[in-house]
This record gives sequence, C-alpha cells and structure tokens, in this order.
Amino acid sequence: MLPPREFIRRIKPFDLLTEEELNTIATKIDVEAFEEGELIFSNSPKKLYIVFSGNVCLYRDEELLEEFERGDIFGLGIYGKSKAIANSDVICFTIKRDVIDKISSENKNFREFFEKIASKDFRGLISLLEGQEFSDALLRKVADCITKNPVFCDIYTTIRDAAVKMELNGVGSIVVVKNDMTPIGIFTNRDLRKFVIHGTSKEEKVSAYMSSPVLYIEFDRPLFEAYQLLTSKRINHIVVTKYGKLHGVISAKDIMSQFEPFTSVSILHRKLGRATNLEEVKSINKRIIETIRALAKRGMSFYELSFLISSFYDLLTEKVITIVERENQSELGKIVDYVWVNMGSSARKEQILATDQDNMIIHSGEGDKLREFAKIVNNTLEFVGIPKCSGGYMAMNWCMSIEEWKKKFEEWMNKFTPENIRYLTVFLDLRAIHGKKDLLDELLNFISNKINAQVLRYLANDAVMLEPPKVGGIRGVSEVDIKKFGIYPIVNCTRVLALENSIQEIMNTRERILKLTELGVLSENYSKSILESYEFLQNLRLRNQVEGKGNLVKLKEIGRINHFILKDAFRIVQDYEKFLKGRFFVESGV
Amino acid sequence: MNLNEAKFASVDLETTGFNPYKDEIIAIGVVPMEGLKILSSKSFYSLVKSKSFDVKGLKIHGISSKDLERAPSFDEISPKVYDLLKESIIVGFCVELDYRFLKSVLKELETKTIDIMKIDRVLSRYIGEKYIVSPDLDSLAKKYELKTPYRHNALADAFISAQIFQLQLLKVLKIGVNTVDKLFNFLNEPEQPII
Repeated sequence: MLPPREFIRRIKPFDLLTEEELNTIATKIDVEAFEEGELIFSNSPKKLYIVFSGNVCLYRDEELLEEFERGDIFGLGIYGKSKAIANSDVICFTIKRDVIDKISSENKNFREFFEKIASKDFRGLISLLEGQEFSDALLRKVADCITKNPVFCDIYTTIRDAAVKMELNGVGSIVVVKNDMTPIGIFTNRDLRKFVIHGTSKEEKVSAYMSSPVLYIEFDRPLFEAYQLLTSKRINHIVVTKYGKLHGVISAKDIMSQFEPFTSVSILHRKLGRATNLEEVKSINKRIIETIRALAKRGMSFYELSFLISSFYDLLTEKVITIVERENQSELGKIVDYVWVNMGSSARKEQILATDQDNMIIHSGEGDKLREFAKIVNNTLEFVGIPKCSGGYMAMNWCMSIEEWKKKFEEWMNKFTPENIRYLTVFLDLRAIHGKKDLLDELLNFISNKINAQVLRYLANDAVMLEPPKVGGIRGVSEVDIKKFGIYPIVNCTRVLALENSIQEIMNTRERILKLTELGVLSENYSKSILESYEFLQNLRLRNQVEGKGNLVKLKEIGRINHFILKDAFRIVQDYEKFLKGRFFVESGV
Repeated sequence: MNLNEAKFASVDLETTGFNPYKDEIIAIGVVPMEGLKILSSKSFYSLVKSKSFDVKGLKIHGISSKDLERAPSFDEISPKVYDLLKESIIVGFCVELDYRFLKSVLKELETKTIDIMKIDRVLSRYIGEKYIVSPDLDSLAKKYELKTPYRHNALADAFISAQIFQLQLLKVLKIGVNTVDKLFNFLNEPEQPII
C-alpha cells in the first residue's frame, strides 16, 4: 500500500472513510510539486488538493483569502472561483473529481462533508465530524460520569486505614480489590455503620464488613443501565470496570446529576416564581448558574442557552424589583411611574455564562427617590449573584425622566465625540423588564425619528473599526478574542442596519438579521452565512467559557475543523464590515 | 527537453540476490512521473514467479512463498512493464543494479537512468550541505522529511524514491537546471573530493 494513505487517513474528511475506501483512494492520489510563485489553479479548481509540505495562498479578486499549510485541504468543492499560488515550494496530494464523486456516492458522511462546506452549514459540519450533537443523558456512557479517580484498598486493610483513606479523598466508598485490580468488594458509609454497631476494634479488616460480591458495570455501558441497577438493588454505589479491572465508582448522586439539568430547569423556574425573600432568590440563582453550566457543558447550543438564561434573568430581575419595592414601601413612599430597562446583551437576549448588570430607568417625573430605589435594586441584584457592571451602566447612575432621556439622546446624536458614540452603542439596545413599558416605547420612537444619515454613518464607522486578525497560515495570530473581533462586529453592524431600516422593536441580533432579510436589505444567502458564522462564534465562545477560558480562543486548542471554520467565519465578518462601509460611505471618512 | 515535460519512472525491485545473471526478480514496483507530478494512479506492482529459484523457505520482506508461486512469471508482465518504462528515464535508489536486472529480462530496454542517491550527493556538494553518510533509502527519506511507513515493499519504495526525486527536482530547478540535458550534465560533472 502506498504511503499517502497513512498521511490522509488522519485528515478530515478522510477519517470518515472505511479502510477499503481509503485503499481505493490511496491508489488514485497523484503527487504534484509546485515551485515557489507557481500558479496551482485559477478559476474553479478541478481537483481536491491536500497540502503535504509548503505553504499555499488563495486569492479572490487579488485579495488574499486564505493560507494553507501541511494537512490542509483546498480546491474542489471547498473554494469556488479563486486563484491558488504556491507561497513556497509546495508538494500537494491531489485527487481528481471523479474519485471524490465516486467515494461520495458510496459514503454518506463523506458526501455530507462537502455538501455542508459548500452550503456553509457549520453546525452540521461540526456535528458530522465531532458528533457533538446535544446527546440525551440516557445515552451517555457510564465512564462519562465518573468524576474522581477510584479509591481502593486490599482485603487486609484495617477499618481505620480504609476510613482514613475515604475521608482524605472525600468519598463515601472504597473499593476492595485483588492484586490484579479486579474488584471483590466495596466498603461504604453504610458498611461503616454496620461496623460501628457490631465491630470491636478499628484494627479489624475491611473484608469482614465489605459488601461482597460487588456490583459492577463495564465502563462503556449506557448510563441508564447503571441507573436501573442502582434502583433495582437499592444501593448507592456501583463499581465501574474497564475490561474487568477497577476503573472508577459512580454514586446515585453522580447519575442523578447527569439527568438533573433537564428536569431542574423547570423546577427552578417555578421555584423562582414563588420565591418570597432574597435569601431564597440567591440560593435559587446559585443553582440556576450551576444548571446552566451543566447544560452548556452538555453541549446545549448558544441560541437555546441564551434563550433560557434570558427568561431566568428577566424573572429574577423582576422578582428582585418587586421584593425591594415591597420591603421599602414605607421608606420610599409613593414613587412615580417608571420602567426598568435592560441594555446590551441582556436587551438582545444574548447573554451567556458570564453576565453582569446593564440597566437603566426611565420615569415620568421626579427622580430622586427612584435613584435611591435603583441603588437598592442594583445592590440587591449583586447580592443575589449578578455582578455590577464595571462601566457603571446601571440604573443607580442612569435614572432619568423621559424628557431628560430624550435630551440625552439628542445630545449624543448631535455631537459625535468618541464618548457619545460609545454611549449610543451601549444605549441603543433596550428592553423593558418591569414597569410602564409605554415609556420605553416613547423613547424608542423618539430615537427612531432622530436617526439620520449622519448618525448612521458614525455608528457604521464605529461598527467596522475592528477587523478580524488573520487566524490561518504562518503569519496568523495564535490566539484571538472572538467576542471583540467576531461577535461584536456582527452585533454592531446588524444594529446599524436595524436602525437604518426603522426596526425598533427587535433587539435580538438573529431576529434583526432575519427581519433585514425579509425587508430585502440582506440577501437570503448572505444572511444565512452571517447567521451561521454568528452562531458558530457564539458557540465557540460558549465552549471556551465553559472551560473557564473567557473570550480568548487559543487556535491550537480548538482543533483543525473549528480553526478551519473560524477562518471562514472571520472572512464573513470582514465581508459584512465591507458591506457596511460601502453602504454608509465610511471609506470616504466621517 | 524541459524537466517539466520529461517522463520518469521510479522503479524498485525485490530480487533473490545481487547478481543479475544468476539471481531473479521476485517483485517489481513502478511509479510513473510526468515532470514533477507523481502519477500514483498509474503505478504498477506485481510479484514475479521465479523460474529456477527455490522459493520455499525464502523469507523476504513479508512475501510468502505461496504468494510467489501463484504470481505471474516475468514474461507475462513484461509487455506491461516495457510499456511503462520504454519512453521514460528510470529513477531509483541505487538504480544501476535494478537497471541491470531489468535489462537481463527486457533485452530491448534502452533508457537513461538517474540515481537519487547520486543527485543527493551532487546537489549537497553544490549547495554546501552535508550529504548523508549512511547510504540507505530510509536515511535519504528522512533527510527529505518523508515518513516511510511501508518500507520494503517494492511499490512503497518506488513511491518514496519518486517523492525524493520530486523534491530534488524542485531544488535543481532553483539553480537553473531546467532541462533533462542540463540535469545529466549537472550529474556528470567530475566529482571532486571534499578538501
């Protein structure tokens, strides 16, 4: 068999092929060499290229689109009209169209890979390659829910030593094993109780009190089987083996926590609705955060999760406000009509794990008492677990009457200092959470009427300020803030277009894009690719945050396929920025 | 003729020994090239049944005597081999010996040969690189940063040789050697001892 087989079998999508298909393809691969500067193809490529060595640049309309290095694939079906040039001496494995077509006709996954790339279906692509579909807890494997290394001892261990070991490891059971690590018993807290009642000396051996034979399950069995075993045998721990040797222990609690997030969402929501005091709200919020984390870890997508978070936090904010209102009624006396408004990502319903307060008040008259009230609410929200906004964009600082707000916006929209532009980007996404919604509607109407070409141009200029960096090739960066360079530009560009087209009632970026498509501002295909990129970036950020890594994505850690899609997503961001630049004549200066 | 248009064929043989008049070919791998392009899809590989050699008990590189007994004789595959080689320059690792074996069974074969070991030596001297001391295909492949997962199969070896030759061609093009004639002149310059 030819050596290229070993090389390509590790490269996506060839890893989707069977051995037999790989063998077929390996005999059909040609190896082409290109000198530095040589044209590899122009126009539509007729082959699939796999870079074996060297560096290839891909251009469209003289603009560098992409760089490829060892292991990257390009050409047929992946990039249409473009020009590829060898940036150094390059060796490529090439596969002709008929070979790809033949394998595609036989292998569904392989075919879908190319279809999904062509249609920019990133979500589908990732689930195809990584099987990252949101899987049902019932189908998870036993091994997935082992959280700690197993604690074990042999049959000659004394009760005292076993108990010390359990205590030090913070576990409720210790597995008793033979020399070859096959489990013969388990000594649990329950057995310890038996010892306390019947035992005589701590020097007695665990073998006298352990439960034996031990109930065990192989690591690759589905979780529900373990669940069934636990409930039918009325036990709390079950030993997990890997090919007969001790691999870990799972408890009933471990299993329940796997099933839990799904059921607890609705329970927590109901509990929050019924909560009557702040301590209660605080403890519920803590569990909400845990649940959301668990769901994010489980692979729930950004859209689903942000929707869930918004509905929780809206309810939470409203709850806190009503409790504060009630508790401070006598002190504050009668307060004027007002509306509590959330701003930014909360207004857009796009919050994910790390979320802080962004709020303001619009009232209908005298504001001193309300400011006091707002301060208490802000502090209380912090108390229940929503951190204060570091930029100070909170109701305690931004509490004004409707007339004052109008004046403020007029001021911002008349003088385009960098500071005013920043205020506008912060205060243009608004959503009423509690109180008299009419006040917000009035303000939004006012803003919508004040928007003119000049304002849009300044906002557009601000939206396209940050261009995504190069994330591919030898001169690309190694890490990138995807919020700053990917998500924000899309959100900001979309807001400008929404304002231009008087879409004042919709704040959510995805919904804004859909509305803009409906109005014909964005073409169907274009909006689809923007939405795909946006969702991809948000999901990538979500995964990153779940792992405690914030918004900074290290390209080495995200895998080749995510890296590949990220390049594409950034290109679409750049395109979108270009679209805005052209539409609002930003290039010619503001 | 331009190097880009020349036809090459990378060849590797497995033989029962080193004497072309006594020993026999028992496996052949041919990987054709068009200029700098390796045409794996047109490659050829076959085991060869020995005429007189007792293959029983013979253990070479994973080829079983059973396989050899079932293989075609060289006469059966010679038209195909001749077709693949007749208009090409034969390329290989220590290619002279393989060429002599081929001539012993394909009398009409009359082609030029290029030894990738020799190119490496001449090229290294030209650009002032150290050339490899241990003269085997593995070391040479390693020098060119190629992995050799299936070494010692005639086809895999012919392929690796083709890849090495391809990389060597990229190098000689850089120093202005862009035709077949220039390449042979380059290779035939008297080798001078390194002082």
